[in-house]
Amino acid sequence: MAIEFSRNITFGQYLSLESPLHRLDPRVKLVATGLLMVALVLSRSFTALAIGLLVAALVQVLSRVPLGYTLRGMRLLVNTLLIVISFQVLFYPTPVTIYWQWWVLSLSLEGLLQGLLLMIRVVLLYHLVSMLLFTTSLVELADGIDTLFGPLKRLGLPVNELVMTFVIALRFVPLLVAELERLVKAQAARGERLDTGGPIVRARKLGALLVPLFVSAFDRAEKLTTAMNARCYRGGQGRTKRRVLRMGSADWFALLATVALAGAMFAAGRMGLP
Amino acid sequence: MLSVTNLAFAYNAGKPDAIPALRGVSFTVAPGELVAVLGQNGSGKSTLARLLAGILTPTSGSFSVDGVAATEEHLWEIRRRVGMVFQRPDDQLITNVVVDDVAFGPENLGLPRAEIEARVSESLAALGLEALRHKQISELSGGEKQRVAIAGVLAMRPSYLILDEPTTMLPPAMARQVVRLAHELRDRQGLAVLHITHFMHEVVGFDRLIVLDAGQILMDGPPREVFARGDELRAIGLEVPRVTELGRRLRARGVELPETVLSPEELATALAGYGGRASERVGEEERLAGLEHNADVDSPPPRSAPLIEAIDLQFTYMEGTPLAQPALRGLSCAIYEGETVAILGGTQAGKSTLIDFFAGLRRPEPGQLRFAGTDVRDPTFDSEALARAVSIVFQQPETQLIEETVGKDVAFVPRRRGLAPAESRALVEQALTAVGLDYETFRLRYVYALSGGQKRRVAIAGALAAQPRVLILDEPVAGLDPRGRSELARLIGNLSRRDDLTVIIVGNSIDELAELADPAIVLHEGQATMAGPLRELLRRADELYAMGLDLSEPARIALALRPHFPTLPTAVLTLDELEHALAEQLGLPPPAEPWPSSSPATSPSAST
Repeated sequence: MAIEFSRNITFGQYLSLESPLHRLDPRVKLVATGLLMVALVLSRSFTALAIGLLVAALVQVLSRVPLGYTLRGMRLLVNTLLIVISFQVLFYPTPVTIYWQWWVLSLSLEGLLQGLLLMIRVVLLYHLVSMLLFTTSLVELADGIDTLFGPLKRLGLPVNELVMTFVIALRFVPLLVAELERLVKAQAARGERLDTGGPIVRARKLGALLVPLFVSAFDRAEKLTTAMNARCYRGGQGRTKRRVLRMGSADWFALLATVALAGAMFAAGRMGLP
Repeated sequence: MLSVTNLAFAYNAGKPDAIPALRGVSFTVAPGELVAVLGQNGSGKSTLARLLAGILTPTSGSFSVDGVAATEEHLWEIRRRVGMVFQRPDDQLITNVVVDDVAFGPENLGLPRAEIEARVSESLAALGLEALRHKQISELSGGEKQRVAIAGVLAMRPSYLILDEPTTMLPPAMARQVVRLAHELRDRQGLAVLHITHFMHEVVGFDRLIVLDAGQILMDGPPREVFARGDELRAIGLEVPRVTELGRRLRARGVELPETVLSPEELATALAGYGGRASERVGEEERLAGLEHNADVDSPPPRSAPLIEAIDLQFTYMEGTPLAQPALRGLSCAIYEGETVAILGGTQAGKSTLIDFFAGLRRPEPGQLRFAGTDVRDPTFDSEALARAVSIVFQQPETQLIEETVGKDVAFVPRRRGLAPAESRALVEQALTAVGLDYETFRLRYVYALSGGQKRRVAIAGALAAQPRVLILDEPVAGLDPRGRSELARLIGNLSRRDDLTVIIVGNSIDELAELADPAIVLHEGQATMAGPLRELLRRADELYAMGLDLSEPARIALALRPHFPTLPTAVLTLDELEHALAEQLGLPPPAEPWPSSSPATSPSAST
């Protein structure tokens, strides 16, 4: 039995490595992630997804994040997706090339292709967001979003406060994972092991951990609020920033390349490529 | 000038269930003054800190900071002028990179960019954190995180810095660094520091001590004055530094000493006149030391196979990720049935990981773990039996209690094992009695309403109710005040004398708990580097020190006295032993009253 969730739940984790991707302007990373996500969601062709896979591979290499680490973080998502998508495949409404059929259930070429497309698309979306978070520190992320959505402040939207909330929520993910790890260990030490029993029993055992987990999360949130207050945080009003966001040539290049790739993905669908 | 007038605070003020925490305190702190606020848990010291930092609003009374009255209107100015560092750095670090976090305060103040940059660099330099500037906070050690937290406050340029028990959760070596830092900040930056603590040895060099009890100021004066009132301090659950206590005892035996001795150096100077007598005795001392050493060697107790044996254990956290952190690097050790073993080591030595293995919470791979002679990976091994045999009490177990009431929580394991209610009840009663809690009084108490020390006892009772053969306690007294510590130590002492129970105590210093153990195993960087009787290990004090392990306070005092008394043994565990050894050096007659023998008095003639 190995109780080490933080090794497998990587979402929201920042990795302070030295890489070209880490050095990019956070605004570029945010815009690029956004563009590529839109292109992925709109893409209906394998060619577009192939470009998407290429981009993902490129980003993975440029980030210097070990591939194993990225993949391990995806295991949970892929497992869940497999279950969801298998339903979609089985219940595919208009099958043509049918391999197997029983009542309303069928296994068809169309259904399988559709399922595969969906799978690749979701995995790529998740990969993009993971890469953004792996390579961008919380403050960079906050500064980036704050600048990009800055104009909305004129409409009376508390942009800075919303960004701060978002960023702190992200910061809590690894902390809560560690806390969960601690609780599971404490229970295991008293004979309540999570890895025994059927799926329902396990789910119930995990459920029993949610209450202490939330109690601890609220406790932490309260302490963090106190600490922020003690350091004079009072919203975005009158707040300044240490970081200067400046677009360099690499940033412009990355932005242009993303626009081109996203455009290509979009065009591939339009031109009726498979 | 920070001036406080009749400051009072009650939780739920104005309601029938109001709990007064501070009952009207008045004092002033001058700029650049180094003040310690002392008191046991619940004395109101943390409440005071929160009031002064503008986090809580006083129920009555007032205070002002350099002329600015603490009112709603000046709240932010007060918060800027009075910086606060909390007990746990994890609760106050807001971002995930060092430099960003230090910049958070100045950014909130709306300073221009260049000014922020200047202040951040200045604060990082003041705390020696330049090299960690771009490090991720989760990669830092506890002490480093605490320094980042202080740097973040410093960057706001406060005039008063409150440190709210910053050392309670740190290993002693790091705690000493933080205290040294408080001195440096005062000396170099002219900051006034209010250091809140219940560790007396930390504050001997301070300008002034304020002692709180039950929400009121009991004493306010320089350390020498405060520590002269040892009996009063003890009455409110505090203590005097060990060296002060030693001085008092020697004085009582007729040695000419100042009334209050604050440091080993001071004691050494005061005893300088007595030096001559010791040197006459050198020959005899050496002969005795040799004799005792021989006696130790030829009496190893005949032993059966070890109960738990680790062979070349290896483990890495976050293996295969950029955050990988090796914890065990080929560790081997053995633990025998019925022993009380101390597993000692500095931070990152691998202590907590090792006991996870002992409790069967990790699979040894690579490496081997044998329990009662069988490899735990052997298909015939009954891992259920291991889980039954080993009970573990983690660090700060109070946060891990499962049930709502004391009785239910202690009965958790017996109930899970399906014991009959009467049987389970008997076990719970036994376990609660063993930790000094009355069954009838505490059975129905709500866990959340207990004090920190009581919760910890409930956690230990819960472990005992599982009827283990092995009880593992991970830093059981960390974070408790002196009274809580000594009560729990006494209790663990009782447990360790039971023949049917193997007790494993994990710790980071040779303290009152390690004294209970025989033998001790020292871990360093994931390996067992020394093992043997504690007294024997103490002879290699310098090596222990190099491994980040803290010596017992008597041993540290002995080391400091060594230049004046070259033959003074340093392998002393208790103050009694040190007193005895020192009395011998000084040629004092034996004490009139019978020898206080809480621990078997051993011949202290062993010389390093």
